[in-house]
Amino acid sequence: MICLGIESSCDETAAAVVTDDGQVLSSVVASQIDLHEAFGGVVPEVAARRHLERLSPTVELALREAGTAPGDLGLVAVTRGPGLAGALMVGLSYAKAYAFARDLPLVGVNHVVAHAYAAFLGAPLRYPVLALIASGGHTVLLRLDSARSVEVLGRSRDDAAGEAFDKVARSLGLGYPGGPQIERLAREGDPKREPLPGVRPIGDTLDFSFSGLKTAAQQRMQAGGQAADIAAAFQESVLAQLLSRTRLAIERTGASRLVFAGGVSANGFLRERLAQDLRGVGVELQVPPFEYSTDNAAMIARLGLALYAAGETSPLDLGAEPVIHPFKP
Amino acid sequence: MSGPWLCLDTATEVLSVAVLGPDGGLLAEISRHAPRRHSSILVPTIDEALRLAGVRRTGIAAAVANRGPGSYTGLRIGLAALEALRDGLGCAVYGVPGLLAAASAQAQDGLVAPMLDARRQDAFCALYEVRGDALPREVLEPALREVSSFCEEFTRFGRPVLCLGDAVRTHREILKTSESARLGAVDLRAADLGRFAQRAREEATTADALSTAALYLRPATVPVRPDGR
Ligand SMILES: [Zn+2]
Repeated sequence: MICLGIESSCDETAAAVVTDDGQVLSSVVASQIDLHEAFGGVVPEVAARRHLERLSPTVELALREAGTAPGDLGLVAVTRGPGLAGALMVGLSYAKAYAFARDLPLVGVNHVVAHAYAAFLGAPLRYPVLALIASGGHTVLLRLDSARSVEVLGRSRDDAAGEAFDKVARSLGLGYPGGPQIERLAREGDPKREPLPGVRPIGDTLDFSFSGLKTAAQQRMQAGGQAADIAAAFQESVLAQLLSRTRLAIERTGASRLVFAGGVSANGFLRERLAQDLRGVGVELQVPPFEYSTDNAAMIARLGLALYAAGETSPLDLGAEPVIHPFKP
Repeated sequence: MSGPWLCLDTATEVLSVAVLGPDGGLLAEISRHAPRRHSSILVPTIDEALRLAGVRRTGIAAAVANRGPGSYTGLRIGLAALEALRDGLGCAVYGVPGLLAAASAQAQDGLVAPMLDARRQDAFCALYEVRGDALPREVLEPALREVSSFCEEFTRFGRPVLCLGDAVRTHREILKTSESARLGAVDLRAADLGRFAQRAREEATTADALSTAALYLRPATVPVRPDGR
């Protein structure tokens, strides 16, 4: 079966064609980053307008690149949330009308859970698995026993990890998005020269907190610290927190595999250090290829196919879920 | 184009779906007052309207949607669905300027002012001169205006003005102060969009009015400096 995936939850308009064994026939992402750079962040109305302009050409390109005719499709998968309401509704409205027009089944998927399925593109689905998803909008730790059985083990109590990267980058005088810029600058810095306070575990939970770290980094900058040193120290502290929660989750669940996904997983420093540390405790780290760590529609299609195979479909009155709080699959 | 036309209007709180014959005859029409629910109910309502009309989805010759002005989110829901229908069915699609279509549906000659609720005291509005079978002539271009100043402006023509659209209900008190304003239909109809497109596509001069690009009439926002100030 071949699935058309559609993603429009934030600032990437994306469409992809994926087979039910996880092969990506095409994955097209029309990024809006340039558009939002001038605003210092994503402007919802700007994003929604651009999604409408780009979606149909993006779908057309994805089908063409895949060599797939509309008649070859067996499923439409679309992001139902979380995300920007106006942006989500463009993708949903298109996907529902397309599924209706072609008389295809539709599956609405959770964008955050879909990030984990980026690690299963070109790779088989294997359960159970832990998933650490860190992006500009979300930081969650999940346990997946199947596509329909997803448990939230922990989540950020305040800022998402990627959001903290963006805000610290802005304080350090770097551009948007902040992740790649901090990683580059950190290579020239010494993390021990401006050490940031450690983040204590929040009660008995596996929850995260990044806002204190962000504020500490901002204060060091105001106090005249070197930007490169602060960037390096900030990355170390984020790593320490991701590691401590992940290690605890592994202890508690006995998991032997971890997926690290979401935009923050594109950070090479975090990837390598996390892999190194987990190897030490015999846990296999599975990370999506770089191009699928940020928002894309191939991961939406991959999760959609897994849900469909497990018996799930969505009705044509499927609505957007911009906010899912507290986070649930 | 010999098959039936599917018409979608999602620009206001009333969602309207109509199915027309190729000659403009009404085969089915469903209107629902459904604020903030257009995203959920649009496709099921399309399905229902087609069943009512006895038309199979693959039999649709053309589809039209309101390209604006109106609720930004509403316009996008309709236009995204319109493009999906084109991509999925291969039918012709047209985006229709909603205010112009509403004016062109009026049988009586004279000045017509379609006006749609925007925020607070504002409305998306325009003024047209309707005469005979010709397409309406634009007297005041579609724009976001304060209702009271729009009302003053059209009153200066010293002629009766037929006011249409949901802003007629919201701003009834203001319009009543004008000796020119005549209050007309509050809810605009999807069928009018289709009939307008059927007429306009014959006339080359209005062909580019039928693009599927949204007519927001307002910029999304004003850029701020990169440092956020
Ligand atoms: Zn994401």
